[in-house]
Amino acid sequence: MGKLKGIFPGLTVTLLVAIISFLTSSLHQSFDLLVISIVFGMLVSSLLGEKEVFLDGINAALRFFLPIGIGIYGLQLEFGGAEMKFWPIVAGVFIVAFFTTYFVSRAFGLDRTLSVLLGSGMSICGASAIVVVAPLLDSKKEDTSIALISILTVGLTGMLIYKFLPQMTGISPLKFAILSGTTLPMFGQVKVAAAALGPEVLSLAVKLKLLRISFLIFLACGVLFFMGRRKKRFYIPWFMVLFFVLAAAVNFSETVAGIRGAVEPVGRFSLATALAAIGLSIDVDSITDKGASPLLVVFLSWGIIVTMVFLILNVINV
Amino acid sequence: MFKNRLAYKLLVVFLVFALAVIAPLSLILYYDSVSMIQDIERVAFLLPEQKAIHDGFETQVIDTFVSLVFYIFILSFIASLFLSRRFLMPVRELYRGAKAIEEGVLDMRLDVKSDDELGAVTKAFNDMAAGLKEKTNALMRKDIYVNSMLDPLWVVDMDNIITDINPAFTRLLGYTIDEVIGASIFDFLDEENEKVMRTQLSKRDEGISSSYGISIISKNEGLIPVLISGAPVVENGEVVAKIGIIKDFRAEVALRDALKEEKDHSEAIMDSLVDVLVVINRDMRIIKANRAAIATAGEDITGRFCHEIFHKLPESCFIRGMDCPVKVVFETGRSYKTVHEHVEAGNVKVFHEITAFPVKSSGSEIINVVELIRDITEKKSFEDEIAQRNKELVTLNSISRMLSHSLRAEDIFNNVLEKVIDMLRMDGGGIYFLDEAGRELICRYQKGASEDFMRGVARVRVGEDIPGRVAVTGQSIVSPDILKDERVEKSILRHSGIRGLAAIPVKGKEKLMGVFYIFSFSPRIFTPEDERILDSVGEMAGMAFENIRLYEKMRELYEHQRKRRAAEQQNLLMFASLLSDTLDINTVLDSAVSAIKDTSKADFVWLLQADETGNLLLSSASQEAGAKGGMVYSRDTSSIERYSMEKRKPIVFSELVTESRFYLSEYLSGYNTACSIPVYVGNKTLGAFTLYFRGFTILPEEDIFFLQTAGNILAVSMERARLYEEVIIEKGMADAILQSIADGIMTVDTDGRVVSMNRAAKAMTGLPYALDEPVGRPCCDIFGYSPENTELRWALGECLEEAVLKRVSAREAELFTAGGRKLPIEINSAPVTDKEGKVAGVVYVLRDKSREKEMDTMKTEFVRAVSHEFRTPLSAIVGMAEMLMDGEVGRDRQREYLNTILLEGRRLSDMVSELLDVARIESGKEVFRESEIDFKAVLEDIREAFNPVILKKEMKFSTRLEEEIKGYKGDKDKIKQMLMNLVDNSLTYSDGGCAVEVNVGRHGDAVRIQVRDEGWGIPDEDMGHLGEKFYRGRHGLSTKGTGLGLSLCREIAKMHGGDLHIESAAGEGTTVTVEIPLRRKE
Repeated sequence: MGKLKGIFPGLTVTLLVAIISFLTSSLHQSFDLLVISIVFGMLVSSLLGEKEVFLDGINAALRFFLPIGIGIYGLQLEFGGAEMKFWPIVAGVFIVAFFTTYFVSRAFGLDRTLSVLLGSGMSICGASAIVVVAPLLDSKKEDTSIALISILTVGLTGMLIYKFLPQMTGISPLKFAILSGTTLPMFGQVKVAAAALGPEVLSLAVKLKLLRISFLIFLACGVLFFMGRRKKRFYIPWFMVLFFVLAAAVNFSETVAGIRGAVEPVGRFSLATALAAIGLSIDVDSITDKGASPLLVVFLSWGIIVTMVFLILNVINV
Repeated sequence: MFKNRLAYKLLVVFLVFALAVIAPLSLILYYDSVSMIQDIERVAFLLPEQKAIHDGFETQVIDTFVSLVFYIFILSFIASLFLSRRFLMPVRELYRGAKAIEEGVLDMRLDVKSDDELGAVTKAFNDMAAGLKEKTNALMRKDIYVNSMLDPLWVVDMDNIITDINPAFTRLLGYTIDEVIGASIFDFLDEENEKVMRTQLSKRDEGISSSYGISIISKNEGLIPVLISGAPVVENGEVVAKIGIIKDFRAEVALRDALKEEKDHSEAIMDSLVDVLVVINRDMRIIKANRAAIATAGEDITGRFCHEIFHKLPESCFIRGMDCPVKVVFETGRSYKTVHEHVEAGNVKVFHEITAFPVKSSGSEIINVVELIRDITEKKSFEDEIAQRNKELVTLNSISRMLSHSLRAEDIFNNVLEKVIDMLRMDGGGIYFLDEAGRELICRYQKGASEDFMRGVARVRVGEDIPGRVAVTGQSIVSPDILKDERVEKSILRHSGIRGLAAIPVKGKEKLMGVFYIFSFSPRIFTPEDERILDSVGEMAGMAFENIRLYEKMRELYEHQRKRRAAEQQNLLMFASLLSDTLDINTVLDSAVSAIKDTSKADFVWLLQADETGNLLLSSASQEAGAKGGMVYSRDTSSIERYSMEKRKPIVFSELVTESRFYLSEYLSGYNTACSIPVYVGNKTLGAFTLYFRGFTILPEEDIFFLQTAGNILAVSMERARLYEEVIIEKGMADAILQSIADGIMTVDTDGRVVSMNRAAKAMTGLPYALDEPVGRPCCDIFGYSPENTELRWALGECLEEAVLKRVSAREAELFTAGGRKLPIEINSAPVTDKEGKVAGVVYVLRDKSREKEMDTMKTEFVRAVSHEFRTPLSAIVGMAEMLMDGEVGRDRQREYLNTILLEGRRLSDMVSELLDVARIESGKEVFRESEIDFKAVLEDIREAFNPVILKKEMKFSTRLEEEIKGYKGDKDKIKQMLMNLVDNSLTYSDGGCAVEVNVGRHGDAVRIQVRDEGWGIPDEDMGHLGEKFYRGRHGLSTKGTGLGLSLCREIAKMHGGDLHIESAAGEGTTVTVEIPLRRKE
């Protein structure tokens, strides 16, 4: 009972932040739930005076909700949406995006963990990829936060300016769909950007984005493998097992695919709560200590990736 | 609860900007767009597609604006974060630095990250921190200096209230800082010292510094005298405080008191001195004089010149060449002692001993000289006298030493004379010694007199002149001037120029030896001390003279004794050599007697030995005295020899003719003196040898001692010879025993080398060893001729090791002889220890167990054979009986069975009888039943007994009595039994149809019984064992029997005084011949 009393304040605040974020994100599709949760959490954390009272509850929320959210997120992975001919493109962009971001990040002097987080966010699905990969890397909360904010920023920028690309460059709707589906980090941003060119473009872009999201499974396996080699001990947390199981189940079981709609909000809320806890537990100053380097990295990487994809699309004449 | 941070302010600024600017702008754009669309719709006709686009436009605008707003919000947030960082970092740094300085960390230096106002503030902060650090460090150092001071310090304000002290204050006075701060300075002073303090503090108020001494009341110890150096603290020209540094003056006060006490004490000592003590400065002026100095001078001499007072001189004494100690001390810096001589009124010499010491300043410079002047006039006269006496004593000592260390009269007396003359400062002297008759004094040593004078006085008769009178009276004559001395009016010395004279008697222990005199050519007064010295010299000279004479006598005597001893030792050596040259007892005795006679120059010497009964037998004599070994005196006869033997000491009789106690042999007539020396070893008296002299002879102790020694040597030689003989005999017997033992006996030393090996051991090897050939060789090598003896050699080695550890051991091994025979042997070993118990060697006993093994084998074989022989008939008997009992046999066969049982039973009985017969015969318990034997009847009985077998085997059996043998008496049953056995053997060991002959006849004086067959014969390997009990041979395996038959026959033949011979060869039959004498020996 005493333990429950100890975590109550922090848990309450965390859940409140998560709820508010959840409601806010539902207002518009560009409002990414995870980013709002963490940013809002950071704001609230900075305003609170005696944070020690809430720390126990915040940490408890993080420990409880993050694994659940990650595990359930496996239901998001869908391999069969897009046509097979797009697989190489998506795979190629995934690889190029990840390694470009990673190496640019390393060139800017950022550490390996942050580089992997930025690479994950750029190559897969922004916030979700970062949130799934972060515990596997044992990354600091500050790194998780700055990676999320940086990816969000570049995604928002892309979301606003992509709609002018067809007029400026004469890019075909198909290519635009591929471009937006493979290079914009977040799902909502893809939808907003692609919707400007019509429902077909939107549909293809969404399918490509979903396919890209499914590559998270490969990324997760790769991170597990390299972390195991580094630590000389291969360990798959239970939530990753759940993640893999549900990812497989949703693709091969219609029943599971059927209940995805009911379970998916639970996963999203869990992740939101976890990120709210992260935001509540970090110090803003520690984020600013990294400087503007992460932002520069993602913008530069994004520029390189977009240019490369644009050129490749023109060359291969999809 | 909520933080108030600059970052949020910035964020709010941005958000306000975002909302205040963007929101209205967005709304304006939105509503204008909508209005514009509505206006278009109102005025224009739109196609359905256009309308759909227009309808979707609102949603699109909202989407765009919402996205834009969200984007702007996020960017604002990020911008605020980074910009605030830019602004906040320096502020945060300043905050951190200020906190650090507040906590006392003065080494803060912040990084100046920008060149703007924040950078300037950061720089100013850094400068401020550096300055503060410097000032603080300076203050801290000063604080440390003050606190490190050993001297206490106090600071008072203008109201004389103490505002600060240092730790030394607490250490000195005991008050803590809390007790002092805020208190008035006067609280720590008494009334008297308070006045002084007030005066001094008023000076401080006027800005004047000063030092003063007061006493402060401490917490525990009362008043403490201190020296305070006070000074005003001036700030901006005004006195704002007063500071005082306190010096603990207790040590100085104590020192001052001590010095004063010391000074008083020193002055008291100075005044108490009897001697004059003055202190003189470099000007030679007396600056301090003690009471004795003033009293001696009669006035106060302080300030006067020392030479004026002590030498009565107007100028310094050293100018006049006098030895001035003050000058010497000033010049050398060291103490100086001298003696000054003054002549005072009445021409009296006065001596003063002056000891001068430097007085040095703290810089080691000599500032004054202290003179201690002591009147030593009396002391000096004593010293002179002592010196003189000392000189005399030294002279007497040297004379005494000379007299006691030397025995050369020439040197001694000349030196004594010289020393005495020198000591007493005389002109000459001499020493007279009495001649041997004691009538005349002869001057042997003289000095200082002329030859002419000496010729006149060289000899003086006792009683004449001065030396003669001294010799008679024994009293000294001492004359300061003989010319005026009436006692020596008639002395010729009066004409020799001699004036002073002293003549002293030289006495030995009991008598006068001579006269010692000294003289001077001027009158000389001899003091009582001089006379005493002369008396001592006279006594010492007398004793020395006696010692010299005694020494010479002793030397003569010693020389004589030495020669005598040498002669005796030589004789003893010769005697001992003579006796040790031989071990033959007779030769020893003859040599001894001869040597004794030669050495002692006796007329007759003989040696008598006592036998077991106590008779004295002649062992040796220097001339004819009866047969050697013959009895000289019986045990009941008392003789000189027996007497000395009983007393066990030499006996001498000087007049034999008067001795009636002893019987003298007829050979001893004409001898007067006899000396009998007993000869004994330990408690055993062997005899005595006696020397006989014709004349009356006195034998010195040394000669008797020599004879006694000779007797001891003789006794040892005799005993040695006897023991040697015994040892030889015992050794011979031991050797004989050892060689005759059937077991092998081998002794080795601890190295395993053979010491001895008996015949049996050598025989075991099978090698033809000479008597002592194996001696000295390693025992293992002895048996090394065959590699199969390895186990044996190991066993010997193990036994040796055990024996070295004083353990008895036993081993069994197989010995392979040189001939290849294998002998099972048992090795028993035991250590051989010397008389000290140490192991000196090992004795091996090698027992050939072949015979035993053979016996065991034969016994085993016998048991087996007997068991087999018994079992067969017993089996038949028992089996048939059982069958009969069970009724399994038909009536027709019952009789047959019963017959078989009877026959087998009889056979068993015969076998048992045979066994018992053998046992009885061997044990000697068999009774010989003698009767006349009819050999014809015996032969017929035999034929009848063996007829069934003869018929069954179709043997050609014949008997023949070659001639009638009448009157032969023997044990008929035994003879028959023997014949039965022999015939049984022939029939058993022959095939069917063979011939068996039994012949009985005479052969010389014997009856010859011969049994010949054409049977199987006896193999060569069995021939050697025939007659051995239980031996069955090769054929025994296939036939029945016990192996006792032949043995029994042989025993029976032996009982009758005869023997049994067997001739046989395998396949050629056997002939057994028994020959028994017709007349048996009793």
